[in-house]
Parts: sequence; C-alpha cells; structure tokens
Amino acid sequence: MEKLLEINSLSKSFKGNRVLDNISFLIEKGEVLCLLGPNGAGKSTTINILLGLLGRDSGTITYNGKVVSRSHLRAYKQKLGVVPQDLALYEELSAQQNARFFTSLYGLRGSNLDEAVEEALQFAGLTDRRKDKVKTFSGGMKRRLNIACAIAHHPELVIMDEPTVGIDPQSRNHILDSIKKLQADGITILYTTHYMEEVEAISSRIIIIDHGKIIAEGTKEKLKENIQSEKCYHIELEEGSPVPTEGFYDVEGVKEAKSDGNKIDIVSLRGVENLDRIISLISDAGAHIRNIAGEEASLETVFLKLTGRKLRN
Amino acid sequence: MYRFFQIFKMDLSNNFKNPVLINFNSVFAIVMILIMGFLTSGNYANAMDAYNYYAVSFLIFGMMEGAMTATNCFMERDIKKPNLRILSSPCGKFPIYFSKMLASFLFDYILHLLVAVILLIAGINLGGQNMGWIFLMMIPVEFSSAALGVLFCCIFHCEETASTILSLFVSVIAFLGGAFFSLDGLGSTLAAISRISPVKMLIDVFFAVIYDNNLSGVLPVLFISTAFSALCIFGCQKTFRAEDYL
Amino acid sequence: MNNVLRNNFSRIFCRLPSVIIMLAITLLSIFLAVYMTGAEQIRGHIALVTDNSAVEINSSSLSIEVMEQDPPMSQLVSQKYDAIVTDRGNGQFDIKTLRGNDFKEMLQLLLQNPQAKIPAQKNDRSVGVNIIGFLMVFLGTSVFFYFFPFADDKEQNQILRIAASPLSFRRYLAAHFLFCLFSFVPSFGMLAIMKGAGWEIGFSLPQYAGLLLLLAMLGSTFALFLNTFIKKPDNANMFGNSILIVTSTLAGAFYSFSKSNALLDNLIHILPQKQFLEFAVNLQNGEEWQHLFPLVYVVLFSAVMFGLAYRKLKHDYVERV
Repeated sequence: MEKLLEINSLSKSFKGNRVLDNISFLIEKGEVLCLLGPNGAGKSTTINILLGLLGRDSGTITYNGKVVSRSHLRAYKQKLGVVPQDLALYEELSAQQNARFFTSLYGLRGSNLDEAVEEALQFAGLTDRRKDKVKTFSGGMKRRLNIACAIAHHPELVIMDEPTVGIDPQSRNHILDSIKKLQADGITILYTTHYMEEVEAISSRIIIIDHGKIIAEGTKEKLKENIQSEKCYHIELEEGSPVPTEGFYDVEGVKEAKSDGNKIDIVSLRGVENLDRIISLISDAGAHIRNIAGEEASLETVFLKLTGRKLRN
Repeated sequence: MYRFFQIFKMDLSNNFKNPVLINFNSVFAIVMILIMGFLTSGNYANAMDAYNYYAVSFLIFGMMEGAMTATNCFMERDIKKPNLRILSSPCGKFPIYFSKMLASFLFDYILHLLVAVILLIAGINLGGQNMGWIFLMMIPVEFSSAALGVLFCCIFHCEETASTILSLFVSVIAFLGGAFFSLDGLGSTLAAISRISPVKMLIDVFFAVIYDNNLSGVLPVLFISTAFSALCIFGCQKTFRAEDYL
Repeated sequence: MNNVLRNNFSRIFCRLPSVIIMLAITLLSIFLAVYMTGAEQIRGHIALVTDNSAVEINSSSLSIEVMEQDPPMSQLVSQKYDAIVTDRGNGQFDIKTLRGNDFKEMLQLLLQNPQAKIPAQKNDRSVGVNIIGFLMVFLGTSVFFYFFPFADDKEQNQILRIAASPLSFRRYLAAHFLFCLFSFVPSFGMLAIMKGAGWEIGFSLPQYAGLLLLLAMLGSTFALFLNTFIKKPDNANMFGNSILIVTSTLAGAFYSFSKSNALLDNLIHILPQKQFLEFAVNLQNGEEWQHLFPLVYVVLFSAVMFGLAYRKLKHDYVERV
C-alpha cells in the first residue's frame, strides 16, 4: 500500500512534562487507522499536532512525500477533514448553513459548494432536516452533522477524534457504516476512540499509544495473536467428582489456577500446548470433566494487557 | 480572500444575531444620552447644549465600548468551538482574528452611525457640513477599539477576563475623559489626568470640528488610531496561538 | 456551604490577574471620590479675555485663566470653561456662557465682589457619600465578575449535581453571596487604612461595613436575578453592567443631579441605588433611624429579586430532581 502520512520522531512537552516521546508511525492510503490509548496517553496531542493546531518540539510530518512545513501547511490542511471531539457547530444556524460555511473555508463555491453540501448532508442522513437549526437536533444528529462538515470538501484524510461520544446505538451504527463507506470511496481515516467494538468493526490497523509512546502496532488480528499465547480455560467437572487442587503449577506454562466448587479456572501462558497435560492431571485425580471453555483474546484484553488495568488520571 | 470573506460574513452575522450586543451598541447609548442630557439640562441656558455634549461624549464612549463586541465575537463560548474548526482549515491564523476585528468594527460602526442619524433627527448638532469628518474619524477609532478587544483576548486567552478588564478600563478612561461629566471643572490635577484619557482627546477634537470648524485634530486622530490598530494587529500576530482554543 | 465557598475561592485563583486589576481600579475609584469632594469647591472655570494685564480677580470660588483672545467655542461646550468673560474696561464685563441664569447671576456677583459668599450648591455631598456613590458603580460591576462560579455552574449544568446533593439550595446560594461579600473586603481594608492614616473619609468604619454589606446584598441579588433569567452568562454580564451604569448614574452615583421634575424624581426614587444613596445621606446627617424607609426599600428590593430568582431556580432544578 502507498504511504499517505508519515510521522517521524514526534516529541512534545508541556511545562517539562513529556507527553509525546519520539513517536513515529505512518498512515497508508485508504486505510482506517485507529489510535488507541488511555486518557492522557497523548492521542489528542498527536491529533492536534497533525491538524497544525499545536506546535511540536521535534519531529517531522510528511504528507504524500512532502514534508509539512509552514509554507506547505495550507496545502496540507486542504487535504484534511476534521471531526473534533467537541461539537464544533453553530447552534443558531441550520445544518445546511453550518455545512456551507465550513466547506467554503476549503475554497468551494457556487454550484460545487451546493453539490458538496447536499452530498454531505445526504451522507449524514440529514437531508430532511437541513433547514432546521442545530440547536433543535438530537445528540446523534449533531454528531452526524459534525462528520458531514468534515467530509463535504472531499478530503483525502479525515481525522476523527472520538466522533461517537455520548450517542445512541443507532446513530453510532450509522456513523460506523458511514466510515466504512468513506473507506470504500478511498478516503483514509485516522480514528481515535475508547470503544473497542468500534475498533473491531472498522479498523484496518491499530496503534496503541501510552505515556506518549507507541506500545503496539498492527492489524487487530496480529495484535490479538501476540497475546494469543495467554489463554484462560474454564473447566467444569461432573457433580461429585473430586476436585484436584495441587499439581497445576507443576505443568509448564500455568500462570494461575483457581478452583471454586466444581469449577477450575486456569490461565496458561502456553496457549493450547499444555492443555493435554492439564486434562491428564484432572483425570489422574479421578475427576470427570463435563466441559472445557477457552476464552478468546479480545481487543479489550489486548488493550488492557498492554496498558495495564490501573486507573488513569 | 474568498475564505476570509466567508469567515467575515459568518462573524458579522453572528454579531447581528446577538440582541444584547445590538442593544448595547445602540439603545444603551441613546438611553444614556437622553438620561444624562435630561439630568444636566438644568445647568444650561439652552437644554439642547446638554444633549449636544452627551451625544458626542457617549458616542465616543460607545466606540470605546466597541472593544467588548470584539471580545464577544472572538471568544464567546458558543463561537469558540466552531472557531477551532476554522483553525483546522487552510485559512491561516491572520484571517481568523482579523475577520473578528473587521466584523466587530463594521457592526459597531453601522450601529453607531444609526445612533448618530437618530440623534441628528432629534436635532443634535453633529457638525453640520463637517459631519462627514466626524463619521470619517469614527472609522479608525472604531477599528482600533475592535483591535484592542481582540488583542486582549489573545493576551488573556479568555473572553470573560478580557471583557471584564476591558469594561473596567473603558469605564475609567471614559470617566476620566469626561464622558459622564467634564472633569475640567474639578481642579487642575484632575483636568491634567483627564487629558491623558483618549476619550478626552477625542471629545476635544470632535467638539473642535463641530463648533469651531477646526479640522486640525482630524489627521492626528486618523493617524494615531490607525497606528494604534496596526500595533494591536502586530500584537495579535505575536500573541495569537491556536492552542488557546484547544 | 463551606465547601461551596472554598470551591469558589479555588476557582477564582486562576483569575487572579483580573482580580488584581479590578481591585486596583476599585481602590482608584475611592481616591478619585475623595479627591473630587475636595475639588468641588470651585464654582466656575472662567476664561478672562482682556488686554489689560493689571486686571485681577481673586476669588476662591472661581478658577480664572487670563488670555488675550476668546477661546474657541468648543471649549465652552466641552466645559473646559464655564464662561468666557470679556473685559470691557471700567469694571464692565461681557459674559458668554452656555450655563443657565443662576450661574450667570452668581458669576456677575463674583466679578463685582470676588469675595462674596456663595450659597452652597444642592449637590454638595460629603466625602463619605461620594465614596459610597463611586463604590456603588465599581463594586456593582465587580459583583458580576465574582458571581461567575454561579453563572458557570448554571451554564455547564453543575448546578444539577448540586441540586441533587444533600446541600440545601439556600445554603448554596448563600455561599455565593458570602463569596461576593468577600470581594468587598479589600475596599473596606483600604478605607480602614485611609482612616488609620488620618484621611477624612466621611463615615466611621462600622458605618462603612454596614453600607458595604447593604451594597453587596443589592449587587449580588441583582447578579443572581439576571444570571437566573438570562441564559448566557456573557449576555447577563453585559446587560447587567449596562443597567448598573445607567441606573447608578441616574441615582446620582457620580454626581448629584438637581432636577425639579416631580415625575422624574419619583421615577428615580424607584431605583434601589437612589434609596441606598439617600440612606447614606441620612446616615451622614445622623438621621438614619428617623428615615428608615430607604433602608427598608433596599432590603425589600433585594429580597424580591432573590425571591424571584430562587423560585425560578427551584422550579428549574430542585423540583425536577
């Protein structure tokens, strides 16, 4: 795939606090790159630097092979669409007036502007309400309009900062479907969110960022595979079977073993490799297994494993 | 230019959609002129002289208060967020703050002209054939107020702080300048302090144009207020940071 | 209540530069009021046009500038001079003024007899009333600033969280009132220092404390009232400050206007600021207990504004929780 945006050794500090520490990554044309990270990890700082809203201490941004400098900033911004986390809309104006204004800032005018606005409103499912003031809209409609304002000028790269915060499942599904449509049209998307199911649904690739550093990068399958080796088994025994309590830690790769009634939970670092030895151990103790369930690694497991479970500020 | 014009149009229409701003720059000025004129008319042989004094002094006070329109236009909470989107667009930072200045200036100027027309109809003396000079001087003065308002926002990064400080600052220079009543009669020290106030300087020049047919103050007013505006724009260029909107 | 108060103090900390500037301007207004009281002795600024350098008029009531040519008309309009007096010789003077007949007669009297005793003007006020008049405008404006925690709570819906908490709404509002009251402390401190340093500031310190308390009550209930009924705090601020300047000026905060118009006089008496100033004048004359109406009026006016705001807030927030 072709490179669209390349970030190299980006660093940023605020009052001596390093929020971005030499991060580098690239976005390929046509992909949906999800930027994940706990609060304060550096996602918003990265996005604000990419949008040219925040200066950087060091590092380069290359767009389509050209280094983004002060002199190229305007041409670079022309290619971007932005969906801010805070609804950036004029409440007193109609959906159409909002979309027209923000699109005109990208140089569109006349019939081109009209068409682009209509297309964007249609895309957001707001054609019927285009004349209504934004203050009369529901949260979901405002979020959709927020996206419409970002894509009407046909950007190459759309940067979406948590675009589905605080909306109902219907609107969220609509937005996720829209993102898939945008991707199908060849638009590249940089997406930040806290919702793992959204990442599962739309991401081509994922970058996990924490403490200003990239800690994992790859497709969702690859990331899951990386921690696939850690597996949790829930073993249920027949009623009345003796429950073995010892010997599990002697099996190579067993990290944790707990029993509760006729149930045993085992965390293995060796995936399925040592499952036969665990089964033999249970059988040797005279117990009869009724059921074994293995828990698949989800993205959430990956995320929590990489960033830890400790609460963040 | 097209992009700048779009932002400018939006800023101007936002101003005209704010009833408090409209009233503040029109009804408030007229009410103050009427009240002060009426209250002090007893001191004059001809009551109209009282109105003539306050028409000019409150028109100038109103122009100074125009700075508050600019702070509102620049950083009012509902406008601040959409401004962030403008910042992300390929417009550059100059059009953002300059459009707020220009929109606030035009908004204030239109309303103050309207006030002036109403005063003229009511028989206030605004210079007769010299009226054009008065309206001409109002242009750079209004603009410099707007530029000062935007500069305060760039420096303090918060509309509330900027407008509170500006409001007090304008009240003080208006008071010292004799907008409420002339301090010339209150001793030489106060008269000297009064002369530092730009409101006093403007009142003197305006009265000289209106009553003495003396245009010698016009050029200095045009020049000083234009230079002051340029200084404010330079200050904005130095202090305006997109980060302040984040 | 303490928590709300403490929270308000923490919130104002990040606005320290504004607080300092505001305080500086308020304190400056006190000096201005004191100075103006002293300066009000001069009854007229006169441009004396004469070729004869020997002409001398020494009057403590007039400030006279001798010149050879008439000053421009604009200096009469701008009140730099109250009158242009042209010396016709032999003790004869022509008087050109925009001021009324009373002034002209007084001037004629002084020109003929510079040491003549001039009856006191109606608007001669004591330094204390002048200080209170000035503070009424400047502290009134600052109350809107100090009311920002409430305005923010309302705009950003924290008020819902507060209404849902066990804290009584009355106590919550009382905390904001107390917070505003604290903003009056520096002015009081300044007055105390001035008094200690031997300045003539009119009222005694306990009297000032009472007057400032009354002013705080009036200002904060007005700020609460407007912030309750106007949705956007910015608009409430702008609107409130405009009303304050108009009504305080009408009430005679800067200058006591004398108008013999019964209708207007009655209308002005509706303004709580007018009643407040009348109370201050009664206090200055030691007649405050004989004429209690102004005090009762101000307290009632505040109570009504508070009551209306409280009702609306309770309806909007408390009853729906």
